[in-house]
Amino acid sequence: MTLRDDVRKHFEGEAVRYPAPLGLRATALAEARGRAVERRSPQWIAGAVAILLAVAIVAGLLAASSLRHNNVAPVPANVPPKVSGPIPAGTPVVLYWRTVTADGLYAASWSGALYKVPTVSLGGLAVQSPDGSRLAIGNTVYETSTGATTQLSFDATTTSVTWADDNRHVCLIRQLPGQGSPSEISYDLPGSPAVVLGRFGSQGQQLPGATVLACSATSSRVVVANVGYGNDTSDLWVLDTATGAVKYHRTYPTSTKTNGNVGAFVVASPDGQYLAETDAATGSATIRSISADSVVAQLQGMEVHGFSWHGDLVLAAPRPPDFSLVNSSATDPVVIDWRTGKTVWHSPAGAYFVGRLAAQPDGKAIAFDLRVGQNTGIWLAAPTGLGRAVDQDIQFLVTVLIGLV
Amino acid sequence: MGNEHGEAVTRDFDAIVGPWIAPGYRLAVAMLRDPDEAHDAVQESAVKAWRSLDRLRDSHQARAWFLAIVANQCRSTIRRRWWGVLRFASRDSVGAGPEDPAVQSLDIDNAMKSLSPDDRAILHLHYFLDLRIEEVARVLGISAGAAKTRVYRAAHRLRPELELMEEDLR
Repeated sequence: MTLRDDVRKHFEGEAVRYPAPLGLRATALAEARGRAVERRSPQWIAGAVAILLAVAIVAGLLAASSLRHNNVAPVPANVPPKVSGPIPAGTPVVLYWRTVTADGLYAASWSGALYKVPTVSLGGLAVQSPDGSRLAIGNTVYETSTGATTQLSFDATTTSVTWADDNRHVCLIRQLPGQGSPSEISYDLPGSPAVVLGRFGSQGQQLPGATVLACSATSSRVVVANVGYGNDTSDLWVLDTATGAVKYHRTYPTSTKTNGNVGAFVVASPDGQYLAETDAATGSATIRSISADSVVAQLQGMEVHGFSWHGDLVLAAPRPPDFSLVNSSATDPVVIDWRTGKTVWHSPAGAYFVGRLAAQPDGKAIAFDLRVGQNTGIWLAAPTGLGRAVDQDIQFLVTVLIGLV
Repeated sequence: MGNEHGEAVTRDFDAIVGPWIAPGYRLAVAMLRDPDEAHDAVQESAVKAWRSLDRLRDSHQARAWFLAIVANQCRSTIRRRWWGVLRFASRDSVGAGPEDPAVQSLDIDNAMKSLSPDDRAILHLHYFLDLRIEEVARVLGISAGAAKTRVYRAAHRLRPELELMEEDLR
């Protein structure tokens, strides 16, 4: 697990042990007003009102501006979600935390319907299967429509889970002890013996080491990257899920400039067919077909954070010129059809990608967390150009964090 | 007219500060490691926010602005409590049974205990609340470069301790 995973796990546990008192928000605001309002002078109130009016005018102008984007459908913030009962069987969903509490888990279908997920027990990293039917928290698997649980047999303190695209298998990364040690990658059908694919990468202090970029049962491949501090990739392997044979290996320079922490930030399509390699030296992203080992597109001045299911579309963000860090550009994200170079969706101005995305199973839509102003929402962007927030005031999606944005 | 203005201020105060009460509480727990003190700190922060609303020039900065108030309030609380060490020990010994999720991640929890409140705050802000370095810097009132350095140092303090404990267990 990465440092971020460790830290997040700690604070998630802390949130369970010390949940926010019921009604904290209402009582804190009411008491603040009650204790302080009598001390305000009329001049202060007039000043505050003037400022708030100015803020309201600016917010109104921004809202009007965002409405001019015909592909943005804003949703009012802080509105409790209207949920539609349990998740219907067979309906793919994206899971997200409204609050990081046992009862704070919700689901959004790809058509925008919202559902409440049964109560879970926190205590480990949460990762959803691609269709959201299952959720792994540590080594416990929840059926998200019923709340039924099963246990996976691994040590959750040293092992992290990536679901395969069949929603049944998992790719496991087990960190071996010791600075600089590799990690063991295995392919596992819960209830059956795991297939150990081999040991890869080098992990240590602030070095994530071996990281699963794609776990695909349908194409029988696992894409593994060795990731360094700063999310730069040094090596990439494509492994056969049955034998562990290395079907493809690629290396990346980790220091192409002398004045900064540079390298390539690499993500893979969920089916393991395409790579997007954002290079700090060129400031551009290369789309590569793994099967053909050939470059199929270049996205100038863009950093790619993830793909749609079969790799047709990418979520990307503009990179500042001559910027020496990778995995650092998240403001004003866009969805691009790399085959045509066409931007099919762009975010409201100034919004930024918070760091987690999900691909619609067998579809082209992408879900992600987006911060607009002071609110983080779950957004769905479709290849038709329609993008909308289906819920707001959320914490983050229950998918793998894309790097350290 | 005065009442109408008062209602407008109240409404906007709730809209601007309300969403950050819960994250503020989480930050306070991270820094103080005491839910009762965290509750008090957030409550006091809300009062200070109400009183200093005129200093908020851009409502889009409300998160950093309010979390900065919470962080300062927590530092004030820490400075006041001479009994802090005893109270930490007492708190930590309660409820830690095998079924407690804390037991599952004891190593990271123990390592976190050894960090200073500001170190825990910076890890909480950057890695848990997903604030960018620039916003972390605004919350803590330091430069972006200093924030980056502090994240690095806090992480460095965290990881070596974890690895040391792993080696001790071998």
